[in-house]
Amino acid sequence: MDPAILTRAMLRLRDRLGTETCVIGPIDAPFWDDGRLIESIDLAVARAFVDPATPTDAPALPGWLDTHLDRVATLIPGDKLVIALGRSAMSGRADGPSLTL
Amino acid sequence: MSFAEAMDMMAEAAAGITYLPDLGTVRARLVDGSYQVHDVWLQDATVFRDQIRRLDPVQAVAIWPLGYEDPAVWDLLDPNMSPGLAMEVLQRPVSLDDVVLQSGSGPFVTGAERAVIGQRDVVMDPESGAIMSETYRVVPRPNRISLGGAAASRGLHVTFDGLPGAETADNLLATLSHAGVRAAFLVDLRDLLADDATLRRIVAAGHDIGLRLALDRQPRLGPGEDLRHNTAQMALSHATGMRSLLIQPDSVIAGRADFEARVWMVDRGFLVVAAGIMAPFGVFDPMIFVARVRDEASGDFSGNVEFALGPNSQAVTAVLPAILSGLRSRDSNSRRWARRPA
Repeated sequence: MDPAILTRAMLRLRDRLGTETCVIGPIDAPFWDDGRLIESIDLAVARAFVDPATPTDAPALPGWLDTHLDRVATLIPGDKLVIALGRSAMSGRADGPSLTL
Repeated sequence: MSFAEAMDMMAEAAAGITYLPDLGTVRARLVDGSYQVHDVWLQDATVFRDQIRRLDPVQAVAIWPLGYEDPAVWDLLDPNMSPGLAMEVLQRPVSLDDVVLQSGSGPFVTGAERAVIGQRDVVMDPESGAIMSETYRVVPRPNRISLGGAAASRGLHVTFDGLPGAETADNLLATLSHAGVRAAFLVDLRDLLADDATLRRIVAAGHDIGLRLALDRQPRLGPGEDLRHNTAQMALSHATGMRSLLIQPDSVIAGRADFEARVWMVDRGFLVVAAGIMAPFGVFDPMIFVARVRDEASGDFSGNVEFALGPNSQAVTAVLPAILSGLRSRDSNSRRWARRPA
């Protein structure tokens, strides 16, 4: 998604409804880089896991997690940032791409 | 998949569970009923602990998705959690006692098993607090219930009197599987004691086992029936790990005593298998039988079509495909098949 469009939408929501706004997205999403978007929202929930494309990919590799935790911590003020952990369990055939979520 | 569902699956499949520090996750590897190897990535409390130690202690955290988590994660959210205290939390027994997993469908509870308290062994680097390894000495399981019983709608159900002979069991089960029919096999204590291998295969194929009970012809039923019935249930449980709700009395209702016998069973929560349409013994014309069933089942019929097995197994196996096909054909006026016998 184009961060500019998302920013405009969040601003309109806040202006028209007068309510708090929140964006939930993957921790590695490019739109966290958009300072105007971060400014326009009240809460940013960064999902610190991925949906693996195959069962051979782990949902939150430590190196990947550390990199993106550091990144969002510099982009999003601490009082707006929520880190979503978890993702429970995923299963799939070890020799195939299908997953049961 | 929730933590409880994943753990139940792993316990059922006797999965190998390994914590992989390099991947930051727990991986379980199991073999399913089709002999396919499955990997399960599990974000349990140990993984959660390893992730939150990377965060600022005052960092706001969300658990995603809520309700799917390992219950121990809540105790790990304390911002002042030390590595030692985290170890203590992770080594506590893992209880999924507030979770009930349900399998099957239908208005009757046909089985219930209590939760199993789990235990994990965690090794942590005392200096860094990093998780080094984790194993489940006992895999926790939630409470489980299985549901069954006929749907509220009326319908025809397939029952078999006795067990198929070992030489015909494969063909019979394959025929039922091909037709998508779930049947009930009604057995007595002699059947239970004689052939528990076939019994287990029938249960493994997803069919139900009911008990045939010979009742005393007395107005007041009492300890004699309880003892006989309990012995049969114990034999069934010994062979298959389950008890049965399905009971078929050995008589039609011919008087007050037979009526009381039904009340006795219903009062104890059993599903009484009513006498239904009996297939002829031996080889017969399946199309004539299909026509007869259509005729008898043309009204608001709810009951069973019963086939005697035992020495009759080969004859039943020969005609069953044609009967099931005939009863399910488009021009049939019989009721739809329910998944469970009534």
